[in-house]
This record gives sequence, structure tokens and C-alpha cells, in this order.
Amino acid sequence: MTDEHGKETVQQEILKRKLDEYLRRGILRRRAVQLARPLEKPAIPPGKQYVLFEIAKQRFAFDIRYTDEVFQLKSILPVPETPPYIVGIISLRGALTTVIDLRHLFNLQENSVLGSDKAIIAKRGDFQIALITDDVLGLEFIADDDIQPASIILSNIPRQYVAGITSDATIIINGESLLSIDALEVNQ
Amino acid sequence: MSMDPEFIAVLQTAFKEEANEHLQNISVNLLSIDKDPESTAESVEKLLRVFHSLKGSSRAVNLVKVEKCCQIIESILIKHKQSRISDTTMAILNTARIMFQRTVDELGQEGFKEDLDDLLNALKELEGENTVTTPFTTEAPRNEAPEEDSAEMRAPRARTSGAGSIRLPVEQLENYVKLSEELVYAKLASEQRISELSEIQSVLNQWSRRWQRLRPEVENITQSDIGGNGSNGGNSRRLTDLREFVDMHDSFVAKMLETLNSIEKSVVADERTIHNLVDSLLDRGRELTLVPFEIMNNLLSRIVWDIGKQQNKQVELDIQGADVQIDRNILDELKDPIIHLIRNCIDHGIETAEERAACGKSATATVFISLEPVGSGKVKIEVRDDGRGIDVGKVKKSALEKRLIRKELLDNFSEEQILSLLFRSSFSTRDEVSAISGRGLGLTIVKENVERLNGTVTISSVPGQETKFTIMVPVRRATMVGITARIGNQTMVVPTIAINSAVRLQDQDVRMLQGKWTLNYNDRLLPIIRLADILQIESKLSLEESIALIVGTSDYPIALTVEEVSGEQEVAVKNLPAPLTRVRNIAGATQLKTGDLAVVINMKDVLTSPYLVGTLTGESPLDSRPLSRTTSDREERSKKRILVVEDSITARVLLKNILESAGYEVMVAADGSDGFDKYRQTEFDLVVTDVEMPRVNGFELTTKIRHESERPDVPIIVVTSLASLEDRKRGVEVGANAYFVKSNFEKSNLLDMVERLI
Repeated sequence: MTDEHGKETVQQEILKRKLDEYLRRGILRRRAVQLARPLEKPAIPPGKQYVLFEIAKQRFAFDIRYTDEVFQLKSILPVPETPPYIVGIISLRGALTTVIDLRHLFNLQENSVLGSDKAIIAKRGDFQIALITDDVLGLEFIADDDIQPASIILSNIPRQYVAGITSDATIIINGESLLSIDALEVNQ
Repeated sequence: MSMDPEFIAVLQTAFKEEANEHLQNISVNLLSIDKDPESTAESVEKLLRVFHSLKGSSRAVNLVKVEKCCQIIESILIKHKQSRISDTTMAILNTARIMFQRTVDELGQEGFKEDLDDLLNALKELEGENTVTTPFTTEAPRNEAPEEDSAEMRAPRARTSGAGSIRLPVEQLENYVKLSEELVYAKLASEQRISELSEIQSVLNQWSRRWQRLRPEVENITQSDIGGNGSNGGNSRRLTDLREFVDMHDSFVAKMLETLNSIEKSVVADERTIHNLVDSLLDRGRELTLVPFEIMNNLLSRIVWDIGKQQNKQVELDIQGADVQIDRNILDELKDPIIHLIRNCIDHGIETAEERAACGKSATATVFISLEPVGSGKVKIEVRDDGRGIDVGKVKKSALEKRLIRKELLDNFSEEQILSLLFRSSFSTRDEVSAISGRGLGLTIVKENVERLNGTVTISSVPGQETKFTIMVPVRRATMVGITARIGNQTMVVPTIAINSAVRLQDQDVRMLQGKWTLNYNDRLLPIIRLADILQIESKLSLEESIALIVGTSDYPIALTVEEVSGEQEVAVKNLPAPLTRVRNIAGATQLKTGDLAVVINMKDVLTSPYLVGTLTGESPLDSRPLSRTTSDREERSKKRILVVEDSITARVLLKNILESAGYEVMVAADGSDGFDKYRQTEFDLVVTDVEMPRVNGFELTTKIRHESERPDVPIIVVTSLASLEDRKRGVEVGANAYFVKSNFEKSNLLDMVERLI
């Protein structure tokens, strides 16, 4: 499963890069209309690719649009006097990145021990954080139809972070609200 | 709209980049029309092209209203190709620029809406008006000589690509530099490999020497037996095998050593290559992040123009030395301070046209910005105006009114010192608070920002002629020298500049005063504070293991203790990553030589932290009162002598101080054996001893005193952290008079016990 989807993302990536390059070279500037309109027509499959991961025995899905990579954590530097959801900071190829523990943010069992050293690098615009996980399960396509609005079962997870839940109880994280400085900012 | 969202995002990013460029162009051209009406035709021509392109690209991202607005603007501009543009039209065009900018910035955000209806209406109205009046009637008035500066303002922009250069996004460049910084680990790793190799070599050499010593022996055995009788044939064959193996083995090991040597040589050579390459790569990478100051020219011109307009003052901007190169990030951080200083100049310094005329000055005022490299990687930036200067008397008066400073002090101040008061918060000499500056916070923020870059800012003035701000900042990203200190189980960097000295705590220099630890340092009593307590880090640090960093001002030094100091190194401090906008007591993070990350302490925060201030002011540790207890008490007790036996400096000093402050004479010993020696030499009225100590422990000491000494009846108090019933029983068995558990250690309690026993 992972292989096939991996291939798909690679293809998407290539396509994206090509597009990017075209845009930079101004080709699209000249042909913006021609290029933009036709793409409206083909039916886009009603769903998205998600990264699936597990924290405190709960499965979560995170829109791959907001994920950069899965990163093997080596050591995390704790920063004194920060709230419990801030685990510390790491150097991601030179870019300092804050590691977030969703268990504290989502009010999951905090006493559970982290099962892995894998973190998902989540990114939106310039804002980048590492989400520490118990396990990264891989990529999965989830159809929009399969996502139901969050119900009362999720009462301990702050509502703004939840975009929905699938029939097999995977919680879809609302990437936009999680990846906002306002939600996580430490400004003392 | 069911376009693929990913595609839309890519499209929007590209659009934003392009639109920002157009808007910048629009800004420049509007500015030159305003400054130099002569150039209107040329500028309008350019504006037409830019608005046309903006129209096209807006359509591609479905910004229908921007497209419509551009279209109307085009038709308005066409009519003005030959004529002067009215102020109203200019104002609307400027508004359009601002609204477009906002629209472009907000595009793609959640709930984005093209909020341009008002603008659209205004433009439509303007278009209508213009069709009524004849566009060609008003010829541009040919007044005033062309301004010399306008050429500079219209100078080609820095980003224009020449034949041999390319344009690339800044992030790409910065990522590249960051990546090359990561190569430092490759460099460190290869150094590590060399030391590992030499370790193997030395182990092998040791082994080899030992083998060489043993070899003749082995040979003897094998030889002699071969020459011996043949009766033991089986044995002899085995010995021959052994001899052959020894020979083979020798050449084998020699070859191994040789190979190892040559590997080491090439690794050393590789390491040298990597070292040099990485270092020069890093140096060049840092060069790449340097940009000329002139990339700010347009922005600054715009600001001067805008504020001049608002204040109804005619102001020119004159920039000298704009080719000076400064690190992008530093320039970024300097932007706000410089803009604020410009605002300050125009708002406070520059007079109204009437005032200037009255002083015989030209109607047009000038704000000068000049840059000059001053060596050791620093640049001097001056922001100066030719306005009224600063009235020192007024500053003095204001300072006194605001009670910033006492009059006696102020009278002795030099002019420079008085002017520096302007950087204090809540200071403004302007009679009324204006909307632009003069809220009294601006200059403070300027100072803070500049100091954050390790720079300085000063102010000087010639009354009636000028006000000058001088900023000195490093050109490159700040590297800083810091000591690495262990606090709890973390290694942190403390800026060396914040430390006066570091001392290992010594028994005799540490004293307890009114329940607060103090350090006798150069005959001054300094409060001792654990850095771990301020940072709220768990630390099992006790005083005898710690090192005190003497920090703070010379008037009020503080001994800040850490567990260990492991050297000094140059570090490049990075800001903490988002969402950590500001974390108390932490200035940033850095990568140590080992490759590990470490946080950098913000000493200013530490010295003003509530914990430290609370500890210091709760009870002043510098107060000498506790020493002057009633003298009669002291005299009465002066004959009583107590021996304190304790291996921990902390507890020893604590006990000594408590007992001394109660008027007893105290001698100390570091363990039971030392204690017993002292006990035999001097007469004591009481012994206080710890239990767990090296050599002779407290129970053993008690036994010795009770059985081996000449004065076996002395009262003995056992002080220990052990609180078990068994220990208590043991204490009583060996003959202790009282038992004291450290965890419920209270001064009065101990003194009560001592008094009862003596």
C-alpha cells in the first residue's frame, strides 16, 4: 500500500516541481488562462491523501498538504519554562524546529510513554513544527464521504483541532487550526 | 470553482511574487511623479504597463475586482499621458496601491474576500469626471529646477538581472546556507574518526610491543623442542604448526599495521580537505547572505514622502554609502528602528516651512542617512536631519517633571548623558503627542532592537541645525562568545560578556545570613542564587559542587551558581523557532562544537526575573543585622565550643553559621576521622555530627568518642538525612544524645536542642 501511494506522491511532487518551474519562467503568465481553466473540468476524486499516525493508541490523520516529511528524532533540546506541549527544539538540517507533544494539546493520556522517535514535520507557509508520535502508520487515501463531523466521543480533544472522524475512528486533524501561531504561541 | 486546491496554491504563490513586484514598481513610479512632475509622462508610461500586467495576472487567479480596477486605472492614466495628474487622482492611485497590496497579502487566507467595492466606485467616479473635463487643458507647470536626487530614486533596482546573474528566492539561498552549515558535523565527524583510528593504532602498538617481548620466548620453546628427541612426534608437529603460525601471524599483523597507517594518513588528508572546504563554504555562504543597504532605498523614500505629506512638511531623503553590505537578517531587524528614527526626525526635528523660512533655511528639509564600515565587522549608520535640533533644557525639564532622575544627579550630567535620557521609556519632549511618534516608547524600542543585534545607538544634536542618531551594528550575523555551563542535566550557554568572573565555591567564603546564602567575594557579600531555581530546572546541585558566576552590575553583583563550567566557545545564536516567540530567560539556541543544541541564557531576563528579585528583596541578604545579635548573648555563650563534623560543605557551612550566629564558637571537620583528631586536641562542649561520611562515619565517631577519648561524656547530636527507625535506634545504641533529621532542619529547633544539652 505504502509503495503505491509513495509512487503517487513522487509523481505529484514531480508535477508540482515542473509547474513551479513553469510559473517561475513566466510561461504560465502568458498562458495563465488557457492553463488554468482546463484544469477545472476533470473530476477530482472526492478525497485526499493523509499521513496516518498513532498517539496514545488513537489513530490520527493529517493532510499531506501540511506534511513535509517523517523525521527520525535523535535528541531533543528541552527549553526551560515552556508549557508541557512544547517538548523542545531540534535542528532539522540547520533549521531549528519546535517539537510539539499532541498528547498535551489533545488531553490524551499523558502518562503513556512515547512508542517511537518518529516525528511528522508539519508545515504551513513559514510555520513549521515537529509532531512527536507513537508510530507513523503510512499514507492513506481517505474519501471525503468517509469523514463524518466530530461527535461527542471526542469531547476531550479541543474541537478546533478536529476536522472530522472516519468510520474506522481515525481522527482527521484540522491542519489549519493546529498550524497557527495563535494556537501554540509561547510569548512570555 | 473546483480547481485543484494544490494547483491554486501554486498559482497564488507565483501570482503574489509577481504582484509584489508590480506593486513595488507602482510605488516607485507614483513617487517619482510626485517628486518630479517633469517625469510624469515617462512614469505614466511605466505605470500603464505595470497596471496592464497586474490586470492580466489578477485575472488568472480570479481577482475580478483587482482586474476591473486596473482596467479603469489604465483608462484614467491614458488620458494623463500628456497632462499633469491631479492630487485627488494621485491620492486615489495611492489608495489603490495600498488596497491591492492588502488584497495580495491576504489572498489564499481563510475567508479571503476581494474587498474593493469602495475603491472601484471611487475609480469609476474619477473616470467619469475625467471624461467631462478636457484632459489636455492643464499643462504641467514647468517650475523648479529638476532635483538631483530624483535620478537616484529612479535608479535601476538592485534585483534587475544582468547578463551574468540570476535571480533566486531568498529562502532558497538561506536554505542553501543552512545546509552548508550542517556540514560542520561532517567536519567534526571526520575529526572524530581520526581520533578513533589513532586509538586503535595505539592499542595495536601496545599489543605489538608486548608481543615483541614475548616472541623470543615463544621461539625458544618451539625451536628447542624441534631440536630435541623425536620421541614426542605428535607434540613436535604441533609445535611446527605453531611456529609457522607465529611467522605467518607476524607478517599478517605487520601488514595490518601498515594498512592502518596508510588509512590513517588518507583520513587525515581527507579531514584536512573537508575542513578547508567546509570552512570556506561557510565563509562564502555567509557572504551570500549579505545584501547592500540600497535594497531599502525605495521603502525609505516612500516613508519619508508619506510622513512629509502627513505632516505637511517638504522633506528630501539623502542616502550615502548605500552600497555597504549587511547581512539580510540584520538589515531586516534594522528596518523598523531606522524607519522610526526617520519618523522621529520628521516629526520632532524638522520644522514647519514657516519656521524654516524664519530661520533662513531652505523650505525643503533633508533627512540624511549615511553608512560607513568602521572596521572589526561593524557599520556605522547615521540618521540625521537638518531641523531644529534638541533643546537640552527642555529635555532636562521634562526629565524632572516625569521624575526620571533626581535633580542633583541631572545637574552633573553631560549633554550627551542628558540626551541619552530620551531613550528611556515614557519620555517625550514634544508638547503634544502626535500620531506618528512622541508616544515616548519609540526610541526605547529602537534602542532595544539595536541592542538585540549587539549594537549601540546614540544621539547628538546641534541646536538649530541638526539632530543625529548614530547606530553601530555588526555587519554579519552575530556570533557570540559564551561559556558552556551545566545546569541540572542540561548544557546551556551563558554569554561571556555577562559574566565578570567564575569562582569555585569554597567553604570559608560561603555564609548563611538570615536564611540566605551569601558568598564572600573580594570582601563583599554577594547573594548566592542557583540558576537552576530561576529557570525552574530540577537540579541536585549542592553548594560544594557548584561554580559561582559573578554577574550583574558592579554596584549589585550576584553569585549565580551552576553545576559545572566546561569551557568557552564562539557560538552563532539563532532565535528560537516558532511558535516560541519569546521564552523567559532564554535568548535563543545554538549548536555547540559537539554538534549538540544548547539554549543560550538571556542574562538580562535572569537578572530581572521575579524569582531573583523576590529572593533579594524579600529579605536583604546584604543586610548585616544578623551578625549583631545581642552582645550579652554572645559573650555568655562565647565559652561554649562546638565541633561540627560534616562532609558536605553546604550542611557544614549551614550548621556553622547557625551556631555562630547564636554566639557559639564553632570548629568544623570534614569527616569522622578528622573530627576525632580535632576532638582529642581541643575541648568541646558539644559535638554535632553527620552520619554518612567517608572513612569514619557518624556512628563510628560517636562510638570512638564514648570509648576511646579522654572526655567521653560530651553531648553528641547526630544530624543526618537518614530518617529510618533503624538508624535512630543505632544512634541511641552508640550513645548519641539527640538525633536530628536534615529534612526537617530548622534553625530554632537545632538551637533549642543545643541549648538543652549544653
